[in-house]
Amino acid sequence: MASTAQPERVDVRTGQPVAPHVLRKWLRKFSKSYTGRVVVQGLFTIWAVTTITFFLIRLMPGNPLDIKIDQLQRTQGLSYQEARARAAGLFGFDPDQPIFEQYVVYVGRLIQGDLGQSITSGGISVSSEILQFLPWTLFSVGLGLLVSFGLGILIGLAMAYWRGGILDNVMTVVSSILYGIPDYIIPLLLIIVVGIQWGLFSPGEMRGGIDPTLTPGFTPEYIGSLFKFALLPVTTYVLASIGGWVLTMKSSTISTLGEDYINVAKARGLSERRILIGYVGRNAMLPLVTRLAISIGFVVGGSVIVEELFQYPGIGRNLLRAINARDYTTMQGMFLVITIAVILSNVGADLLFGLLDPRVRLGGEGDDT
Amino acid sequence: MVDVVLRVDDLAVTYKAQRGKVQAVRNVSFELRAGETLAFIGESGCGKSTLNLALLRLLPKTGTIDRGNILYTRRDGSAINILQLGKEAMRQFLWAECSMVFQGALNSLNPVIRVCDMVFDTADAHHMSRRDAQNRAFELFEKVKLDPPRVFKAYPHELSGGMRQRVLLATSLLLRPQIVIMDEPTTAVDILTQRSILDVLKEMRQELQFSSIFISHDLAVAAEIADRIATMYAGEIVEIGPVDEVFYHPRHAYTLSLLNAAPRLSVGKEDLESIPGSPPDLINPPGGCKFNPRCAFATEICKQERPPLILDADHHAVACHHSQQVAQTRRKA
Amino acid sequence: MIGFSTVATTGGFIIGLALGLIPLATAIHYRKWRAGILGYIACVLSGFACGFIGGIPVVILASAVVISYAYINRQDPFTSLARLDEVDFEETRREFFMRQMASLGSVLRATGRMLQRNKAGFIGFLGILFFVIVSVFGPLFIKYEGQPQFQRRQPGATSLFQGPSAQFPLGLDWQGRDVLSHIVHGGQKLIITSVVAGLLATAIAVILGAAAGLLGGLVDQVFSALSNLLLTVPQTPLLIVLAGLIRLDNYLLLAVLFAALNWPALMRAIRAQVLSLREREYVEAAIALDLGMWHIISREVFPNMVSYIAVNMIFSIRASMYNLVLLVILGLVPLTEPDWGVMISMGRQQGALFNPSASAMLLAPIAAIALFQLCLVLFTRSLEEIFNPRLRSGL
Repeated sequence: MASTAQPERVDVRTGQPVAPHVLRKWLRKFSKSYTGRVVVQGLFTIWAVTTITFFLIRLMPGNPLDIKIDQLQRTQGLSYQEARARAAGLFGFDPDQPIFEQYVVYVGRLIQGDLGQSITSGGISVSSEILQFLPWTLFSVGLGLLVSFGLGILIGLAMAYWRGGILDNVMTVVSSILYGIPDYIIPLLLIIVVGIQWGLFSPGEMRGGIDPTLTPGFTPEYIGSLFKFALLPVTTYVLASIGGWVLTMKSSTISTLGEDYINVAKARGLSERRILIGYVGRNAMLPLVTRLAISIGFVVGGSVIVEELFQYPGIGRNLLRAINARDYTTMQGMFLVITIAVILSNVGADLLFGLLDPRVRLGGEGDDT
Repeated sequence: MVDVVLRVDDLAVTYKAQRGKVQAVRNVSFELRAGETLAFIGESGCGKSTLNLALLRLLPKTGTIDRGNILYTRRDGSAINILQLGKEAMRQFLWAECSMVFQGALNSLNPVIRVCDMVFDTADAHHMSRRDAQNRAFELFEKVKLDPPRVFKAYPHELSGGMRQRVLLATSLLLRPQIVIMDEPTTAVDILTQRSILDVLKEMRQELQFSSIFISHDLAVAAEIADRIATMYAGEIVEIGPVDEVFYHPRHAYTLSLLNAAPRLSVGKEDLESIPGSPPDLINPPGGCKFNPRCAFATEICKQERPPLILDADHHAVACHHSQQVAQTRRKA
Repeated sequence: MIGFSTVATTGGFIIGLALGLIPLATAIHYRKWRAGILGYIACVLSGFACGFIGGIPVVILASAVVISYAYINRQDPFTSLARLDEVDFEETRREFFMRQMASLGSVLRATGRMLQRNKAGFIGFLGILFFVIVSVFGPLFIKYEGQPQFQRRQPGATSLFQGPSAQFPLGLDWQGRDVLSHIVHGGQKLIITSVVAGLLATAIAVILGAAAGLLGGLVDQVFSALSNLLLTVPQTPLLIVLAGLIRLDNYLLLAVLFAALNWPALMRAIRAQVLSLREREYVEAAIALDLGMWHIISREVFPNMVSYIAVNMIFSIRASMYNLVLLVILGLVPLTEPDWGVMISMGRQQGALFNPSASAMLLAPIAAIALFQLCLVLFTRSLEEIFNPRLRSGL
């Protein structure tokens, strides 16, 4: 009862016991645990990406700052001092400061959420722009991912359980094709074949994110219009990624079906439904969760071209616009936000994996009795 | 109380392989009485596991039961043919009347759910209340010398191999079945755990009075636990009888060779005997008696005619043309 | 002749004739006529097509196949000496070289046999071959139309676009030019750039991966951290940002960029493989005998990973092509015609996306790109099944 298993820590010099600092103990436990490691790794990656983006922009050949100063001088007849001050204001840093100090200032502003101002859009803050466009991308990409993952694992499970059936044969071919072709081909095909040639919808009408004449609100018209315009992008995401889910789930299920505990479950007289869901499904799904994390990165990346082709007002299309307009602060801010979003989702997926597979969470230690 | 709990008549099981049809089990007939333990011995691939899976109709898709009857008598005396049960009836039959302890406990438990979830799943499938199931499980865990509260809430990977095997053993008796089939339950564990599992098994058999079919390729374990022994070779039963009879006075050449091949610690250094040849190809098995290519007693008739399983002595049946000769050959010590 | 020339030239033809004599001579030496003649033809065709750069690999491969036929008969016919996990310190350089070649050859022949059995992979392989042949030999037969053809405007049409017809099977583009000629000529640069990027990425990955695995410690940590970072950052946004910052108008520069983004995936796999191989006894023996890093890598580690590397190389090629076409479609790289990607990008700019008669002009390069990628995927999957028998489905 007196002291638990932990030996008392003693200060070596004085021989007096050292009271364990509660916070330190908790920190140590956290950093050793699975959750802790995952979070720390994510933070480190975010920091690394921030730093690299910062130096990338500054050190590129054709320093955008100098180009801007030059441009201001020429087009507006400013003196070098004025031009430089103006450019510094736009870009959000003082080019005369040593680069390390600039970095510190930059990170300081970043933590406060200040990403600077857009160069070409005359003073709109980058963060407000991002907040305007990001929800669209998250909405369409998230919906697409949910649908494709959910449908994909159901179809894959069914294909493996009724192997050799008609679903299996048809879907294997379809999934292989969908998986093999590059994902940006799909929106092009949708527009050209389904829209123009077959006339199932009018591509011109489907551009944009929402009917501009509607007032925002939780009305059925508004929500309906939201989904109508999201239909094409979401369909693209689903078609592009479902092939991978189906094929992976099928092979994962096949190997799970061969495990002993499935036979044991059958011998117990459990219902087919319970076995499929709790025994086959849950175990077969585990390897796919890691893939989920990786795929989030791909879908966010793929949103650039999908949004561009459908003129969907998400962050991908606007990143492209910023690049074409040489709006470096916006470019930098958007890229950073996209990357952070991907990293966060990776961390989330890793944590989810820990939740689903108790072996990972608990470290997998067994007694020797 | 019924006398004969299970009767198998002329059972045949075939697997479909790319090369052809594998005759995994052929002409198998035997009876299982109440409270007795019948052990099947034989080398790998002789059909023991297939037979057990067939009894519970748990064969993989490539396996089919070609013919035969499996007659089961319930505690109230009513008899059913297992092979004719419908899907739902079969589900209720499984585990409640006849349960199975699989080998290789490493993989026999669903790694993502706890032991308690597994027990509750079984209870739900058989209309047993969860409270009853938990009480029963705790009872059984204590009998197998596991700490019930801890094990009940544990995940499979938190338990050692021996503990997992004991969990499997305990949960097999959850619904008070009449028959428990055990497929090499001691193979995957070390010898000390093996000892403790066997002891536990004997205790439980004493207390709960169930019949069991026990598969082993370890003759010593079979000898210890069984009342009757059946030797299988190439999918057929070649000898069946009381354990002492079969082990001390084997009447089939294969049984004799098996016994001679087992090394013993009690004797000094000696040459190891093995059975010449290799296991038969079950797609194209040898004609006549399937053991004839490797048998020291084989003659012309062995290659032509398949010997039927007939009573050769008291309760001791054997399928061999030369059983008398074999009976007279002394076992090596 | 030397360089990225991929169109058949007479100079290449002569080189093919000359270099093809190597496998032919080897075949004559070992008295394997049929293999030798096939090898000779392969060399002539490839030298013809690709000049030096294309010819040399085919010469090596053809010679390897020939040697593998002959090598077995020379020794005990039941033992193939084409295994590389036994190091014989007595053998000469020449014998070692022959053994390497024979092993390479037998791997190729086994692949060929397996490929015929795996239908999907075979189709993929044929598809790749088809596109390569069309891109390499097509230009000989179909002339490239670079100039606008205003005279082809149909009476009453508002643009020069035309759908498929008997005369122009794939229609006309916005400048009235034959789409078929563009398709035939448009694949070369794409394919070559992707292949170069894939090779580069593989080379980097193998070197870094082997170094990280064998040297361990700080080297390992640095490379691993670097590869983790590159794998986490989403590739498409990174690519387009870089395209915005740097002027990417050079195919070689593009190839290097793609290779720089692609190497992490393979590097981790190689590192894992090297780490596991390091535990094997023969590597420990080699290290104990202090046989030097180069020896260890080339003789012990590398031969066990060849199949793995081959599969991942094709994957890199596929990824590089994906990235290249992506950048071109988005209009971020100032590349010139003829090029499948440029066709799509220009077509979009010219409003071909919404013009029914212009659909053919867009569908043709889309189909070409999609089919080529699909064939790469099928081929890769079947290669994986060939090299890893556990993945084979069914019996």
